[in-house]
Amino acid sequence: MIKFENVSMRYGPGLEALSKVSFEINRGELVFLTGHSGAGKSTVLRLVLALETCSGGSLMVAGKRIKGLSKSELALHRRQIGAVFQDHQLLFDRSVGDNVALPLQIAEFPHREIKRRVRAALDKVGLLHKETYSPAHLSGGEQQRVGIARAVVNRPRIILADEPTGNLDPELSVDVLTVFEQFSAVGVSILIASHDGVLLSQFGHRTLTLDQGRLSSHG
Amino acid sequence: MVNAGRPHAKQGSRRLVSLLAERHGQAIRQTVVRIRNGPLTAGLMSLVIGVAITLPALLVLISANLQTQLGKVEDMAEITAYFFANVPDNRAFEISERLQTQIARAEINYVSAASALAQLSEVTTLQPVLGSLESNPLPAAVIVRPEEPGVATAREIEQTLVSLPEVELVQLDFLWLQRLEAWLDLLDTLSSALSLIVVSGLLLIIGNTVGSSVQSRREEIRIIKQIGGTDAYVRRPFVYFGGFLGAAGGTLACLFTAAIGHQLATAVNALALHYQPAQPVQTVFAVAGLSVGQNLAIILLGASIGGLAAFFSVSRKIATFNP
Repeated sequence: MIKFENVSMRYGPGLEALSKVSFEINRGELVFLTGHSGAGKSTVLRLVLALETCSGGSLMVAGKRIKGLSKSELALHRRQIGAVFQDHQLLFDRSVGDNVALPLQIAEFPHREIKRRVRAALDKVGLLHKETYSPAHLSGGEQQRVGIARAVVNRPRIILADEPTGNLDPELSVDVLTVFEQFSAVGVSILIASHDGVLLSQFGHRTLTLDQGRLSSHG
Repeated sequence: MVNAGRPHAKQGSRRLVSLLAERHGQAIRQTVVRIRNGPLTAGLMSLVIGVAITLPALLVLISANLQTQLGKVEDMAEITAYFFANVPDNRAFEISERLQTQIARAEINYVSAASALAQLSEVTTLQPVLGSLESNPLPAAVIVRPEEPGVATAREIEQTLVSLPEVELVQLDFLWLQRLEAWLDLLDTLSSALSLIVVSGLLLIIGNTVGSSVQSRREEIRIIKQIGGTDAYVRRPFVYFGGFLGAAGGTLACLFTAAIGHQLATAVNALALHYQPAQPVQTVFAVAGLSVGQNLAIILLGASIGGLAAFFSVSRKIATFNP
């Protein structure tokens, strides 16, 4: 589903975030991506989401080469990916429910269908009772879970998560990862960037370790 | 489980309508929310646009009313040809009969010297003087009333009449007609130029307002693009917002123009009263307001200018936003 072949990413002369990284994630696989901060974890996720273009190598997602996609193809590409961002990236001028509805609205789902799916997704992260709240009135952990609900609401083929448990207490972290596991069980490929060693060992999925832009372990 | 992307793509064209309805309904809902969140900005902008559109709309109103009045004057236009006094009555009559075939589409009346004298004595108080005259001093005349108003037609008829050797004088109050038409042309040019200036001004004003609203929603746009929103998706609510501002401004302009037109009618009638001091106002100058069609055109024009300005302004801005 995701295939990196000798992917390099340079932000400028001497600023190499990734160098010749190769790995592959299959359909329905849940993979952890770990490493120190600045090792290039976020860069990997940004490349898959096509928020940036790699400077070397080849990157295939869902059978398509990312390089050379047109603007509208890029938009469609991003719609098949559910992304959980480290800083949540929620819109504070609309309710929790409307935030979660955004991917469905963008994909132009019918009104009623949107309502139904939003409630299901919020229920999954245990926030159904806060549907009408503003994200501003939610704790960091709750905002994180709204972000997760938004990532899964469109039933994407790929889920990318950048430190999805960063703001959650251990118990909730396990809950959230269990949600991700449920998705991988039905065929969704999942890549989770995290440096929460305890959690990683607890779940025991394949782990990719990045060290200064190089893949040091394929797990 | 896997059905991301466009949910309707395979459901055939029958669903296209509901897809479009969903798409635009969503954009309109967002626009309504934005207006509700900042009613003062939207109101003030509409007011500015309304005032700007009122200026050319008023000129159109004035020009249209003057055209109507001029049309009435032109309908009354007459060309009178006076025969030499030595042309016998039957000869003059013959000529006027011939003119009937020469000049198409005009009402031609022959007035013999005798009937001219009779008419004059009817309407004047000069009867004793006229009665004391030994011979009729008035010449025979032919009066031509063209069916088609306008200077060109009048000029043509004048030429025909002047070329007759029996005609001594052709009278046509020509110059003032020409001048009036020139003034109206000037007014039309002026209102066209003003419209052009106002339209470009509106494009800039609305473009700028929508542009700064894009700027303040930078973060939101970035997030929407990150989760797969196309430029068109981002643009839509802004275009509707611009269109709304334009339409609201156009509606205000129609109201302003109607109010000013009403005031104008009162003023014009007061003025007319001063020209007819002896009798109560007989001629009521009804200032015709803009027609329903014209009002609709102004509102539609405002909406399209607003939508267009927003479209270009947003497109230019979001192209530079990287998710």
